[in-house]
Amino acid sequence: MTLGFTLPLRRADGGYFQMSNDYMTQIKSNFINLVSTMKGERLGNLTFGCDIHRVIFDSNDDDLYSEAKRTVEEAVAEWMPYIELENFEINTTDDDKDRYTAKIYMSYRLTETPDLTDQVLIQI
Amino acid sequence: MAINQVSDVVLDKRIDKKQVKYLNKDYSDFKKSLVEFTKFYFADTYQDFSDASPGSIFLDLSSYIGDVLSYYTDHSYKESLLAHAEEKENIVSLAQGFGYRPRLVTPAFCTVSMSALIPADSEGNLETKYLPRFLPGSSFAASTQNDVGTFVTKDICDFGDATNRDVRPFSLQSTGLPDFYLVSKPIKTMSGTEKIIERVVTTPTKFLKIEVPGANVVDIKSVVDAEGNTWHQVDNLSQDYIFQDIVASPSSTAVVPFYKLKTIKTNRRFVVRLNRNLKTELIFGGGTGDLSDVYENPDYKSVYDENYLQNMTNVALDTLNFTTGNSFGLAPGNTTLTITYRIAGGVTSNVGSGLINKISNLSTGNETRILSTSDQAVYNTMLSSVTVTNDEAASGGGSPPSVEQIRQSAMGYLNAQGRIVTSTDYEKRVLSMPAKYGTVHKAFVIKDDAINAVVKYTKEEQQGIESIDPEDDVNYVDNSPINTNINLYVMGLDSNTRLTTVNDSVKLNIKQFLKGYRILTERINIVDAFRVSIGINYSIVVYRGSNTTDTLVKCSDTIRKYFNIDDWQINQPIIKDDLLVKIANVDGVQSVTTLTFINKWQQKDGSDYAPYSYNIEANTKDRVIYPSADPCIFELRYPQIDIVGSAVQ
Repeated sequence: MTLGFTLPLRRADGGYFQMSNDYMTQIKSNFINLVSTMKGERLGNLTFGCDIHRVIFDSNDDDLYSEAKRTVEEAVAEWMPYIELENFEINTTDDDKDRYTAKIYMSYRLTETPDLTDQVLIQI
Repeated sequence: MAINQVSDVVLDKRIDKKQVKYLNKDYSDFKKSLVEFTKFYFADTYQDFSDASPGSIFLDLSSYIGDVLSYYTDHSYKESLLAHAEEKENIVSLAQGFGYRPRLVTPAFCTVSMSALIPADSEGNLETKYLPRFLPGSSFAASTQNDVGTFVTKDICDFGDATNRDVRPFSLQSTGLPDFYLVSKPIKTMSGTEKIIERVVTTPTKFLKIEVPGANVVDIKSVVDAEGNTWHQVDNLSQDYIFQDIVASPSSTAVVPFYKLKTIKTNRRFVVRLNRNLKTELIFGGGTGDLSDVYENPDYKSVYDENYLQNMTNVALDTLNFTTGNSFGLAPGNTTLTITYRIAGGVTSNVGSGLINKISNLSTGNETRILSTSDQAVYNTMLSSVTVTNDEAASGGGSPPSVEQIRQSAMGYLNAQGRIVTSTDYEKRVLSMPAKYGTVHKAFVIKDDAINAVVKYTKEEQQGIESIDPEDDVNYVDNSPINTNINLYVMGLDSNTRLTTVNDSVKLNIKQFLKGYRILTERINIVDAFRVSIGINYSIVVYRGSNTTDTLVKCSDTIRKYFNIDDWQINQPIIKDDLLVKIANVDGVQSVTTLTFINKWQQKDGSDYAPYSYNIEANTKDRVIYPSADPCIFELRYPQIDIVGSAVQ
């Protein structure tokens, strides 16, 4: 039994997309999908997404980190209430600065089963 | 059978099982159905329906596409209905499909007064042989206008017709008799600047379209090719007959009408419509064939020809269109078309009163009067004396009609259909005949009872026969006459606005005019209505303190207004109490003691009263005077002498 599509979308056997077979894999794909989606980007569901993409254009001061974290927490609270954000770190190397990108390390745990945790690293 | 090929039986079963709903209209309905469908048929394959799931993106996308397609399906359907369309080009297109031609620019209208100095005869009376007649197309301009357009007459201005004519002595001879008269006539004009374009046409093209430049085109005045042939505008290309005006009896100014109507079969024809860009476009015919435009009467027998079946729409659209061809007119080729059209000047055409005083063109047509050389010189001098002015400001020029205005006009046109079916249709159509063909002031339509009498007689006769042979019944039905005769009673007004009969020329024009509208099988008898001349004798009691003479004058004036001929129709009864109440309501009247209607007729009372007597007493019931069985109209012909009143105080 499969649950849903995983990200990134890949072709799987039988002509279908690659699917997840366990909840943690599916939740990870959902989390990546949520954080990667800008609000207003999703057709038919314009409030879905995370505002972290707006923050990246703000000045790189002390407030940036807390503001970025807040946007992710808000998105998770609204769209994935079954997880909680644990760690949120922004790692920006000189190369990243030159390319105007940032790597964000995030870890989360399940609300009802706090022992189950996972982590993702996304680049925006 | 290949392994992956699904048999028809299996496919049918799948379709039966998977119940797809087709009633979804919006995004939420689509998504709900897709989720239900997936949960039901792919329960083992897909389970995460949360918004954050990547799979939900596909559900959202599919729902969005369904929603958009639904919207455009609804929109397309809505825009195909005249009652609901919102886009202007769609409404214009639909309106034109129904035969209504929207005008996207509103020209200004203005009634101008044309004046001319007419010599007097040796006895000082107006010399009528010099009275001019100006054809539609005469144009004037305002003194302040530069390029805002001229004002063009749309109707004939006939100084020989005394209606609304103002005649005043202009100068006196030494004997004291008038030397010249200043004669004035009002005429309606419409603003429009004339423009000309030329289009070279090489190879004949079926249904050639020529777009007229500019957005404010009011009408197409003429289309002439290099060989001098005139191309005629028709309502639709299947219409191969048009009405053509023939100048009638120009030797006498007293003859009404000025034109005779003639139906002419034309192969050179075009329609005018607005294209999708809302620009005026001319569309010509699509064939080659008989090049001659011939005068002839429509052959109604052609309804039984094979062409009837080929041209069903032709016949269904217009009774004039029993055409023998189906090319929808000639396609112009190897020539140059000169198109003359008019554009409106919008609000700038709303010029103030007294400003239209320039004469651009006086159109007298090809009128050739029987005048001696010296008289012709006087006539030419008279023409040079013509002036024009507008007492009222031009109005109506402005912005194009709104979408709603076009819609309502089209729906009104659709309901009217341009057909005459009911008696009111006949009356209104006759009364709206352009004045250049003669003016009918009163019209009344009734089915011809003569044939009804025959039917009645036949029925009675048949009923008197006792027969058991069923064939008798068949014969009876077959031989029963069908009454399709219609009697159209008409009356006109003379120059003193008194009832008079309509002359034969006008009746012939009515006959031609109605051809384009009437039902094929109906036969119309155009006959003069009878008029019944009446007089009123009344007596009143006047309140103390009121002036008896003044009160009598007011009462007589009330009676005169009550019998104003404009307000009376053929077959309208006189309700005596209506008039009684009106007299009683006059200031100073205490009571009306007598009110008597008397018949006046020529042999007894002289003058030009109605030639026939009418027994008013015998036709009065319950204080209502009824008209005769043969339709008649009551008239108070000479109010000055036909109203006799007395008063006591």
